[in-house]
Amino acid sequence: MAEVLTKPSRRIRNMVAKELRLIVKDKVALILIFLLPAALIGMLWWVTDMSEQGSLGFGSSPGGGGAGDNETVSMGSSITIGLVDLDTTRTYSGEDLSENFTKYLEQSADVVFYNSTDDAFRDLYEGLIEGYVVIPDGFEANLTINEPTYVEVHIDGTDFLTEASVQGVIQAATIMFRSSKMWIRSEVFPGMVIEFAPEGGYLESVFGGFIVIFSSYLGIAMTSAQSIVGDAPLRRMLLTPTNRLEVIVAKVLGYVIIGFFQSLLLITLWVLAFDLNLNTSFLSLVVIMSLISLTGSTTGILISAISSTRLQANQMFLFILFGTLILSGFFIDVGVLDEILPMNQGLKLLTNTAFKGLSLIQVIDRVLKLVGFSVAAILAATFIFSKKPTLG
Amino acid sequence: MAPSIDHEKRLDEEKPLFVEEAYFSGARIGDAIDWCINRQDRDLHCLVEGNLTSTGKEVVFRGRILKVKKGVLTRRIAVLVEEDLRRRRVGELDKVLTVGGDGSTQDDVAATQITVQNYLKRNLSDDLYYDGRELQQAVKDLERMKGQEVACTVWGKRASDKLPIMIRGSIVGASTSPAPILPEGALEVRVESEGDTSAPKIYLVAQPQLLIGPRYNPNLTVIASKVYIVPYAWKQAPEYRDVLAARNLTVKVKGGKKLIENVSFSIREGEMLAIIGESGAGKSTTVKALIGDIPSTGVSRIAGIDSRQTQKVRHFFGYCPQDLSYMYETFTPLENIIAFGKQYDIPEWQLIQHGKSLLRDFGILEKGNASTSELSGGQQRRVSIAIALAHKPKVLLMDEPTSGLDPDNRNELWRYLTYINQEYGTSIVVITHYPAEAEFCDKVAVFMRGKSLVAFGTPEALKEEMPSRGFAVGIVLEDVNPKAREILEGVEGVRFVLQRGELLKVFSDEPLEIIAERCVKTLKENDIGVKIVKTRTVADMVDYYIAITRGLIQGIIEK
Repeated sequence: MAEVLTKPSRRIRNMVAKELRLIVKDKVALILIFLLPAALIGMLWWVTDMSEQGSLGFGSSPGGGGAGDNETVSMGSSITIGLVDLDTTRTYSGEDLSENFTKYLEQSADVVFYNSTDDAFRDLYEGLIEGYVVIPDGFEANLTINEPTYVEVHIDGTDFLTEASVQGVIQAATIMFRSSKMWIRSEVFPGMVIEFAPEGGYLESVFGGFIVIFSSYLGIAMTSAQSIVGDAPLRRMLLTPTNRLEVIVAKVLGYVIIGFFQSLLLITLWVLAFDLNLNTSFLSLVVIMSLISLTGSTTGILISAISSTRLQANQMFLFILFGTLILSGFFIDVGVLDEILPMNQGLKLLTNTAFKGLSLIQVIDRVLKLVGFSVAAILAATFIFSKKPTLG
Repeated sequence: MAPSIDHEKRLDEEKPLFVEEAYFSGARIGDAIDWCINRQDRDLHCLVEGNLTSTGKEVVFRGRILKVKKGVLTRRIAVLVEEDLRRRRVGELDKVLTVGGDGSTQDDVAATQITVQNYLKRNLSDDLYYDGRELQQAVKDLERMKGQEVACTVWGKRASDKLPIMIRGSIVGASTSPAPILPEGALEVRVESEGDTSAPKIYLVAQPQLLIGPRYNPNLTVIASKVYIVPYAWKQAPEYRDVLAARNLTVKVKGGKKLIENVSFSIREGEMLAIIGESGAGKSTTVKALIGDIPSTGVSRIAGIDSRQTQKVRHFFGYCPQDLSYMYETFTPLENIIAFGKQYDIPEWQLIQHGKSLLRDFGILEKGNASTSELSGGQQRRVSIAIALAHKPKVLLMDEPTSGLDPDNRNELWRYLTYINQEYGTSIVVITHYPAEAEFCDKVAVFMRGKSLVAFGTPEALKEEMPSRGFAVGIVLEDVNPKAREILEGVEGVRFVLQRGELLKVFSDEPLEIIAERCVKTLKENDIGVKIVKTRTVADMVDYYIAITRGLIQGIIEK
């Protein structure tokens, strides 16, 4: 007689259906799942509406970006800035003013010289420089006749951390240049041009992108962190022919589906509420959000498999929450961890595609990292879960 | 070591397999069929005497009735042969035989005498039988089981040379096609070659009214006369004697401490077992080891399958935990049954059908649309049992099902358990803290801390091991007196006294009348008022349990 031939795929499918049915049955949870994205985006909308930075556009008025005023203390760090000197005027009898400005710039940062703005833009895109300054034609002429002048500062909109540093360096160089030439009565304004960002508000897109990824990842991780430890009937389920790997996979898939819809709603609201025009296709967004949901779900399941009680799971999740927040690379430089941690990869995936316009194939390394992390988390969770007795 | 007892009377004491029986001559096969139709949801068996139509030889066999058919011309009973009772066996009998009336030539057996028996339990068999002409119906039924591993045995004639042939294999295809009279059904059966000498072959099983001629290789086409289908082929258990068996079952923890040691007992199909004992005596550990949930040494088998084959053995037992939170409280009872039942690869339509019938039996069908959390404790417990029975297990294991229930609900639950046992034929193992509940069961296993299993047997056999074969002098005092027990234990000839309030049971190996007189006299001397004296009071399981746990008697382990 044939051996047991029941298909694991069928059992997994049944369990996923059961998980979804449980959510559908829990009306409050269902409302919360879809209310959460709306609330988050609503909050962001309200905050940006209140904030002066909210209306900051890209490549528009010079003199913006006050956020970096106090960042000059970090000048000692190795910031590489490109410089394109387009000034051909020679109206001052002394030294070349644009070259003199460049020297001040070199005191604060490594300066790479470019002949054209296109080359500088390409290097900024590839991350070889953190920003570049364009000294326009007529820089010296304007200064000698005491007319205000400006320098264009191009920064990478996807790199929230270095933005401030670049602005600080330019500010410092401008102040030092200005104070050494007290005969100049007019001012030198650094004009901000933020590159690689979708059309729309600055704060809304950069901070909104962070919110979308952060809440998608951790939202689903939080939900799934309770999925094993809080599921008492699961013990009984384990006395059916269902094995533990099937349980883990089914749980992950169930939460990926929920997380996917949640994060898709989040991203849709984000785009619509702030009228953003992302530089990527909808399909790419779907793939990215699915990946984020997958990693979030596997992170949560791993927490749930490790913990023995709900309290343990809650504490562990909080630890992960703060760890992820601090190490997200959004606020401080986290070095090599930025290339390892799953949420950082998700954040980079979104910025590289939606902001910089890269295709998914071009960022396949990050996609593979997320998939690899998920597989490893599933296997680890199964291994840990299999060590626990079914009936306590 | 506890002594073992020989139970010669065991066979006589066993419950009868059937509750009613009827006898019909071959000429009255129509009446026999009517008798069966009136009891169509029951597990019906029969004893047939008659002649094989092919050889004319006499045949006697016993079997389970698969199907009865009473048409204008045909009167037929299809029987799955369980026992060949011929004195002189000439050749093997087919596994499925069709029985017709006296003088029938169309069926395998022309019966001279048929004894039909109605077994107590409901017919829960999933196997199906079709005549060759009913293949179209077989195809319809198989469509509902799509995706399952379905085993099939076909008897018929090969299309090429019209010689009888029997094939056994798994169904890989089923279809109907238009035919001149009625649509015809056809099955494709993949047959593994014997001894792995050649590659498996796919046979086409066709209906006999095939007028156009086979569209398939005639050598591989079978014109069916009998088709026997087993839908869940993978769920078949091997032949077994005891539905649940433990031999020298030992469970050790990491430190080397033995939680249970050399536990040996077994129960037959349809029996109920109560496991009683102190907390920490190893009752739950034994059950966990039996279902393969914790590592153990020794033998533990359920339906003949080693419990270490966890994936397979889980199809044969249902587990009902003590904790009622082990089911989805937002789901309705039926949704719970479906959620758990589907993991056994049972189609949803079948789960709904079986689930509804379970809920109806348990008196909670009307609560079918309410979420489980809205039900009372007793009703939730019944839902939990229904979930455990969704996949029609051979054994139902229950961990303290009556704890937390009031006496009324407890009695009601036992009524349902007895009903399950009788109606579904399911063997039941119940862990309980109440020795009185052991009286409801066929067998009792008593566990003691540090000693594992100390007694096993029928409640009657265990009680007979008490002094005077379980009889005692019963004395009811006028008032509760704690000193009475000590005083009576000092009476000459008294082995021990068990006291429950005003009632004292005095156990002795000497004649009870004499002991009664001595006891009454002693009580009077001590100014203790006596209300009633009974010289022959029967001991119950509570008395037995107290006596064995206090070391007053030695347990027996029935083999």
